[in-house]
Amino acid sequence: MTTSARLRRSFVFLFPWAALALGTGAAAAQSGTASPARVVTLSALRVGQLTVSLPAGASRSIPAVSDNAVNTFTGTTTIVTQWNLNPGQTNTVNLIAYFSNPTIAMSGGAVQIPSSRILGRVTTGLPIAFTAFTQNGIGAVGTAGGSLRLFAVNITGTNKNSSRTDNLDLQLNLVGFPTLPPGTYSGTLNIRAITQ
Amino acid sequence: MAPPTSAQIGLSSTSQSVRLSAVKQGWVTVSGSRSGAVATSWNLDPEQTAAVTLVAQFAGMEGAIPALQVPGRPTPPPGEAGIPGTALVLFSQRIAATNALEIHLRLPAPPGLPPGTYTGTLNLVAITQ
Repeated sequence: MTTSARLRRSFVFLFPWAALALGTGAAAAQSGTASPARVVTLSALRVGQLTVSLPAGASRSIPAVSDNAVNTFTGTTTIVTQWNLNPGQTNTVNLIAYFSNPTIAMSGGAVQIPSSRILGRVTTGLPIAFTAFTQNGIGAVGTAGGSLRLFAVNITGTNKNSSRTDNLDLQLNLVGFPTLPPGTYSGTLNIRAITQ
Repeated sequence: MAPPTSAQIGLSSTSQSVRLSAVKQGWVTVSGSRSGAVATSWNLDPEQTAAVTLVAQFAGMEGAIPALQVPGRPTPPPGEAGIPGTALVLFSQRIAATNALEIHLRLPAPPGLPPGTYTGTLNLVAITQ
């Protein structure tokens, strides 16, 4: 070790702050050095909107049932379906009507009327003629053998934010069904929309 | 990174309900014959009907046989059927049945009726209560 190197080493040992100050000159020589790029992924998902409302016909009745005949429920059920969806993420909007228990669509006393005896029609939809509620559900909506798809509409850029109004007509088919004892028979029909 | 293409598949609305109701009406019929046999039959909802009452009443005979009476209780029938004093409640029960009816006429006291043929109509009406 030379004399000057020995002196510099002693100086740094005695005055480390001075060494730091002296080191600034070396850091400047590394300016412009960049770390590896790190990518931060940004994602925002706008949830689609899908609603169903019944402005009319939420209660339907047959005041005087006839045995061994097709009985029509009075009035009609108006269904308004609204959606705001991304056509790149949605193929279709489907409207499903279904009974929770296909074997007991309606009941009164000990008598059970299955969903196959309930007929539905939507002249602006898929079952343009009266059709039994014997279809399967779609996805998590509906029940196997107790459902009826009322409409399916493709979602495109032109109708991604839209709505439609349909009327559901209902019948009770008692042709060939055992004679009903006098009484009141009631049930609940569920209506729900789902995307595919 | 774009959202997956299936992001909006399976999206569902809330459920709406349609309440369905159908009423099967009950019925009551009465049929009679000249022999006096009367058949009453019914099919009723026991939750809405307490009893079936068969009422017999004469019509249009007040003038000819004003004092006509029938045995039993000349009770005014329930409801609006019948004319007080000319009607008789034949039975009141809840179960289906065929009731034989034998009608006895008791002619009025003296001076009595002149010999001859007297005609009239006996109406049978079944009423639910």
